[in-house]
Amino acid sequence: MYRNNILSVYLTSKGASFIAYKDGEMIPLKLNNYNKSMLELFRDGLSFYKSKFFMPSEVILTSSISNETIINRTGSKTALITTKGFEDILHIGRRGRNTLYNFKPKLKQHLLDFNDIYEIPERTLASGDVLEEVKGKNARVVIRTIEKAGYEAVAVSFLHSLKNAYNEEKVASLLDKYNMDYNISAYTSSEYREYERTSTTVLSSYITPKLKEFISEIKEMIPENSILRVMGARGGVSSSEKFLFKNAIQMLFSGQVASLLGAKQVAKKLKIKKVITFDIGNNDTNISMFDEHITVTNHVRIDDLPTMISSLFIRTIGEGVDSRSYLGFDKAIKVELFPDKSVTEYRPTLKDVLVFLGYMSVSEEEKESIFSNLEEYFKDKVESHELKYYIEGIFHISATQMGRHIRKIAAKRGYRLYDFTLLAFGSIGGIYASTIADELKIPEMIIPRYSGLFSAYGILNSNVIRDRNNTLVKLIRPSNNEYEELNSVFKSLKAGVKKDLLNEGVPESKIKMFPLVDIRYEGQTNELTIPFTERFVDEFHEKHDDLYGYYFKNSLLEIVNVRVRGVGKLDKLEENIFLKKTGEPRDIGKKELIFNGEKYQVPCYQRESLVLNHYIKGPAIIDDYGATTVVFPNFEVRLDELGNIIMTRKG
Amino acid sequence: MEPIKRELFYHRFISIVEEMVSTLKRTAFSNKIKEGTALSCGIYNAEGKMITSLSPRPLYLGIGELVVKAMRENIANMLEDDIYIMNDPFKGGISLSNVTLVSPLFLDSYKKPQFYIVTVATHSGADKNIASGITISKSIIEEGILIEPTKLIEAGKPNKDFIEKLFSRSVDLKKRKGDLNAQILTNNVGIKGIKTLIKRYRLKTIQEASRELIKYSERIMRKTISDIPDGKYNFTDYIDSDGLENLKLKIKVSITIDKDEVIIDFSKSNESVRGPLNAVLSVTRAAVFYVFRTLSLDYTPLNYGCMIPIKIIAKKHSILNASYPASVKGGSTETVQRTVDVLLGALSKAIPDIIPAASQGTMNNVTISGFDSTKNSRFSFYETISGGVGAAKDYDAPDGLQTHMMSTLNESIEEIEREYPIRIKRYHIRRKSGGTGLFKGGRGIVKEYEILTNANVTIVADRHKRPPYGLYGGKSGKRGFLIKVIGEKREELPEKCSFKVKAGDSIIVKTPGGGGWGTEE
Repeated sequence: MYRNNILSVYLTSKGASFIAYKDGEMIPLKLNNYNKSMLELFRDGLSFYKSKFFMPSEVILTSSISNETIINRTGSKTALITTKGFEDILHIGRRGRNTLYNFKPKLKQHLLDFNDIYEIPERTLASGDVLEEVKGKNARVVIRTIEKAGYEAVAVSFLHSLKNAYNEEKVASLLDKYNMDYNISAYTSSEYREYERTSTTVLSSYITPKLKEFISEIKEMIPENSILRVMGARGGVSSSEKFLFKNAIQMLFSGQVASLLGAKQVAKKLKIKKVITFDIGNNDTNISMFDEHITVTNHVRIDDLPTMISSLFIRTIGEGVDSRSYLGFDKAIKVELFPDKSVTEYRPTLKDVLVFLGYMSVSEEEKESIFSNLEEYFKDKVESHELKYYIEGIFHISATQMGRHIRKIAAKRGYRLYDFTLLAFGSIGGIYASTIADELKIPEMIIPRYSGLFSAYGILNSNVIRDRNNTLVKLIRPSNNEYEELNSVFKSLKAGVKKDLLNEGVPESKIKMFPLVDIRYEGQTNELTIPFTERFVDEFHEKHDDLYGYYFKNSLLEIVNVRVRGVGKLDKLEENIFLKKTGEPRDIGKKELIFNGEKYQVPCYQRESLVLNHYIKGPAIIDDYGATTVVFPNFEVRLDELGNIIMTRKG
Repeated sequence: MEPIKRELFYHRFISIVEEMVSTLKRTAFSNKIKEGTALSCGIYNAEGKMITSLSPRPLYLGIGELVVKAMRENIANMLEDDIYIMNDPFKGGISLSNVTLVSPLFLDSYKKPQFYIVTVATHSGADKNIASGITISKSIIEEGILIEPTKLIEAGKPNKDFIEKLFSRSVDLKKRKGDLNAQILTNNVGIKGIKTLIKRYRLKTIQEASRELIKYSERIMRKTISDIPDGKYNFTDYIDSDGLENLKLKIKVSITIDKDEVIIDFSKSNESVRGPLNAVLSVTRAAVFYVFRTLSLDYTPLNYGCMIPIKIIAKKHSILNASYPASVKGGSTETVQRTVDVLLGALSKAIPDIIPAASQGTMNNVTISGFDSTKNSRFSFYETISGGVGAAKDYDAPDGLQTHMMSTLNESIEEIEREYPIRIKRYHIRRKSGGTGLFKGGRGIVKEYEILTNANVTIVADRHKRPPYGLYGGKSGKRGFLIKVIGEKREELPEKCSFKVKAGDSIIVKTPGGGGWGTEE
């Protein structure tokens, strides 16, 4: 299947990035939001490309619509139907306290109010036996009440439905007759633990109507015969509306996942296995780490509410350039990676700090207002000659704080940081890269091509991914190889996945199947996902040993889920890259930057003017499309064959 | 040291501790440690004072200082690559299930350790004759194996005799060994972290930074105390009983604020009791630390400096400073919460706008054990149940939360039912249980367990007789209740009791609500 005229786009309420692919060429576009909606930004992007005589035959979309709908609480009126006696499941939650040292602990309230929750007498047991069947009459009464009350979406979550979804399915079949979007928990999350599964189901229903509307409007804007593919948290795209609208929750964090896919592609081309990704820009700050394969996680939090969906491992650690700082007791610089929104008076943002230091450019007008805000803020707090030290201090402390998160994740995974390469992207990833790497003693950094619109870049070469799974808590003896028996379970899953992928328009020859088992030692609660082969038990021991440092050869094992991941390979879109191979790179002028309290006049380059493998020694600044890289005095950079900036310490 | 540098080092120290916590969670076997709620890691200076630590439970606050002191006094010959172990509550531990490991950090030119790395983790199943959870024990001997300060590893070599003896009565050997190994590994990560820091920034700078951080916390704490009006503030409250013959156990505090220092005198509190309600000094100290750390700024570095301006008086052999062989298990779940209640009650007279009414004040410990015939094995189920939070000025408090000294996660019903012969029949917020007032106290929880096999049940709870108090006209929260259901028959039981149930019997636990604040308009 020859693919051409592809448009990939990442839409958020803060801006949009696009990359159009045509005949081996990539045409980037970045739009910042001047009070426009995502749809308006998308329309602006389309008109830009139209003016360049580009009409997409395929649009690959990733957006923060799901995230923002939850964070801003702009979803639909949603009701929950749950097991009688457990109606407060969302309100009780798991009850972890985030702040230990607070006499007034505040808990994030879930989306629903007590009135939105309806209980039905029913009960399935841990064994899967149905102790009490849902009575059709009861269910109908509840559903009618819900409809009359004007709910647009419904979530159904019963205890032990993963073991046996009979009661949930029965309610679902009744809901089919009504014009309300609904999700049942057994199909929304494949995870044990009723609170997390219920939360996931409610969130999914809550965002579905909004997502539907959004996608249908996008569809109306793009050429009629073009395909729309939408990205999900699992790292694959889908063009099936039926799938998307039943799995709205899978669109969470798709923009962040998209850029992680970009990182994977770059790492693969450079033959680097161990990578830390650091993504900081207008929307948020995200980190991830992988060692050849990106880890899939099942625990994702959105606005502090749990969702249990399969997602590529990403941790959001801050709000990008909008992270803030303040001066505390005894001039202590405090950085809030997530700003405390209840504080409304001015606090310096990272953007303000970077503009002050000369690392980031804005309009003269904006610059003036940033300078005066900063001066005003620090006026009575520090001596005027100390100002630049404190502002630079904010930069360093914010970098150190972000570095802490990376170190924590490395320890959680058992990785040695020194073996890893830091891949930094997002509009200011190249500004922070060396300071963070220095703190963590990471020797090499890469600021990839298109780092300013890396999400759009990442999804250009994504595949169609569809999963199916079967929860089957099953105890097995280590000696007793259950391969044959399990294999039969996989057969039906594979057939289902194949059907799904064919429906997505993927030709059979491009389908690859990955059978997986989620397995753990008896008595533990965290399982590992292992490829299902004849030696899956041994592989589990090995992976456990790798990750946790020990394994138990003779322990009983518990298989929690079996799943099949189907990948429909889409044809790769390769870019023709033309780099200057000889000559001197020429700067386009000088800029004033502050390092260690000193002002430097540093040369400013544009990325296109850099020359292959020619070293530029710091201090220097490199402007790129939608991103900036600052080369600190102790560092140097060069451009590699693929157009990536490679940054190392001098000498 | 200039403030920017001090802050950078604050992050560098805490980053090492975070790395330790992540390592412990990753490598431990027990779910409680993996979940991250039953552990603590910290770095201490050459004098054994805390530089920084992380713990998901304030209960563990600062115990490292007493433990390191005990090690310094009891281990004669400290060597490089040693690791010491103890759980002795009377020497600085909490209760026998909390095992502390201490690593000294030696540097070439020094004879004595320059830093100490400390980890605490909760181990259960140390003794197969003792059920996990809380029983109504009458002395420490019934609560498990007491480990005195001992060399677990000497100059890199494991103390095999000791380890063999330690595990001789264990229920689940691989789990116990797994957790201990994880703790050893974690201590080593801490040692390595500090050594790397020293190599990079030099010992002198690191020592200076740790002194500065302690001084910084001390300055914040002195400022916090001086903001409280000078004076003497008293408060008395009670624990319902010790589960045996002793009723109405008095907890009394007298707080004297004198400029930027404070004396906290518990000497009028009850003597030690026979039941397991005795708190050891480290536990009482943690309660004080918690209250004052919370009063101070939310970013105050958690270290020894916070405790310098605070003096604690707790009589030896009293319920707040128990000595051998007192039983202590409920001291760290029940008594410690009441200690917080009296501290807050006293302070509410000085700073009414800041201090909340009483929270549920108990952890509602539920232990169910017996034989599971479907799995053909013994089982021992233990959990705690949350309750209402106390209201405060401008604050309607949340329902069903573990408060103050504790922060544990709720067990999932699906997990409980899958693992144990127990069926949860209902689990919801207890309506109308929060104290009314201008601001409302949080509500408690109702949880009903049907036990599917013959079993032993032990409940250790409190606030069944005296409800959590309200403040400034706010009403108190509702008292807790325990009901045993046999067929149609319902019987109310005392807040601490041990009894047998038959298959099909149920118990209903209703947890207390939080107190209200201010007169309702």
